[in-house]
Amino acid sequence: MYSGKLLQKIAKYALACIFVVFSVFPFVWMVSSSIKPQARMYTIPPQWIPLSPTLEHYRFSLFETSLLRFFFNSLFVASVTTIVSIALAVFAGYGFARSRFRGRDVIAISILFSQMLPAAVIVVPLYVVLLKVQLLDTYPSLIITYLFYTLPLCTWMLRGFFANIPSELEDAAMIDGCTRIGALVKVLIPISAPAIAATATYAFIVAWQEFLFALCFTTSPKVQTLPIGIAGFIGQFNVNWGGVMASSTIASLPILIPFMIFYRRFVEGFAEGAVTG
Amino acid sequence: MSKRRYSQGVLFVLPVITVMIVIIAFPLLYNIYLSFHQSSIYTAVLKYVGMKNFVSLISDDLFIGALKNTIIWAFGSVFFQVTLGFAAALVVQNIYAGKRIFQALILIPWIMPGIAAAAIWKWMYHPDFGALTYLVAMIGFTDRLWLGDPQLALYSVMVVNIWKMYPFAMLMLFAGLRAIPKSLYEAAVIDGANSYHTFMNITLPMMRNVLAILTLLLIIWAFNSFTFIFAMTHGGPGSSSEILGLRIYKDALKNMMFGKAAAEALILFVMMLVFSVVYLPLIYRQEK
Repeated sequence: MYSGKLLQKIAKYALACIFVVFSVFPFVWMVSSSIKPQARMYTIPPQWIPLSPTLEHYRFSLFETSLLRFFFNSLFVASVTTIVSIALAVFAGYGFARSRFRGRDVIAISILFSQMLPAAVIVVPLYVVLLKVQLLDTYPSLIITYLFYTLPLCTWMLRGFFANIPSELEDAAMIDGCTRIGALVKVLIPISAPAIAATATYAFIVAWQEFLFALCFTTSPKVQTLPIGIAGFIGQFNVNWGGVMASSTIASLPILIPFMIFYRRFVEGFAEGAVTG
Repeated sequence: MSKRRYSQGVLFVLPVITVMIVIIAFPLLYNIYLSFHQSSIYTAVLKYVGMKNFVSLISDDLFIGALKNTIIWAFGSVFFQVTLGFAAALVVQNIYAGKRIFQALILIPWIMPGIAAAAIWKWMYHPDFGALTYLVAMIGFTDRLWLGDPQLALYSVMVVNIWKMYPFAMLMLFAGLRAIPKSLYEAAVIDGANSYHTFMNITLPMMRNVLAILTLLLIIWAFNSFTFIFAMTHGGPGSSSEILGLRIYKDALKNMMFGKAAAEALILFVMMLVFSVVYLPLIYRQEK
């Protein structure tokens, strides 16, 4: 009986490990390839464990390509987009959660439905407009259009969070002389700080890997973001795979590192959000 | 309800509404407008052509091909995303210790930036030095042109799409599984049900709504796909792996045919709209 149960347990963990291997293997291979010396990269069979790790690909990517510039562009655009989105969404979420006005629910639902719109449907008109106002190939062209992705989502998430917090604390603050905005800033925001942080993180992740708008609206490394840069690297005739792996690893770090630190919050917060909606 | 509360509420949401009208509503209307026009190389000149763009698409082989591929891509990807995600959720649910760590590790594909995923899989698919090519050859499949064979290319990229999104499905389904009351299972076991019965008669029906929302979300995202196909095959070889998003991009920015691209985008949008409107009431059951 005892060994039967143990066997069952082992089998369950083994199954779980299969999924883990499926998920993680490409990532591990990416990092492993990025530190493999050039000579060892093109071998049959592939060398699974890099025996003489090197930083030559990182040195190459960072100092001999435009990767650093792409990285900075992505960081700038994603950060500004996130800040703007959160600022607007906090107010809007608050308005939706706390006040009643005519058409409130209709407008809220239509914000949710806008998430269903394919970006391809607005990319052509946006391109034509940006062309006419000569905003192509600039930071604003990305920041403004990225709001398409982030604003509805942030507004909806924050609306949900705020609605779940009873309004007594703000009412108390206002009885003590606070304005509504004051109550929002001094009471509600500090309380919902984790929720706001989670929303901001999600917005940043979306903006960080956005591809279509960056591809269509920007043409020079001056403004282009990481995804476009790396796509360029793998689109060449002779691809420098070591460099590409190093670039991809660098591109993944800003998202992976916070994830590995806060993974608990991530996994739990999601479970709660999905159930309570 | 005080007037002050009313007007303040409107003020709070006004900025977001304004942005969304400018970025979403207006371009959508402009797209509809564009789809009834033809543009020349000089984009300033738009000529009204009525339904001509739409009619010509019916006999446009590239468009029909992309349409077919998009449907295969969307429904094929989502089917495996959901089944794999469900399997993973069930497996993780049955683990005693370290659930969160396993979930976090399984989640890595979803967290990784799409372009990094495209790059690493393109490298793994390399016909000569790719890790996958070698591993699969060991089992006996000596196909090497994962991305270079017109018959295989679309499916090879679909694998990447499945890999990236199945963890999201796992997360949502895991949350849904957690919400099922244990008492239902206990009662069933007392009545002598085996795990097949409990799965079919308790688990699945209770997960109906979660599954409905999840598949709708995944299908919408799949219709929106662009990065993987663009970065890994660019629609090739030839146009065997082109999906609608890529087709729209090529017609708009490579061929400068804005009217045609707008028409294609509109068709994509209508397809998704019809699907959503038909699908959801069919599957989603309101809680009583």
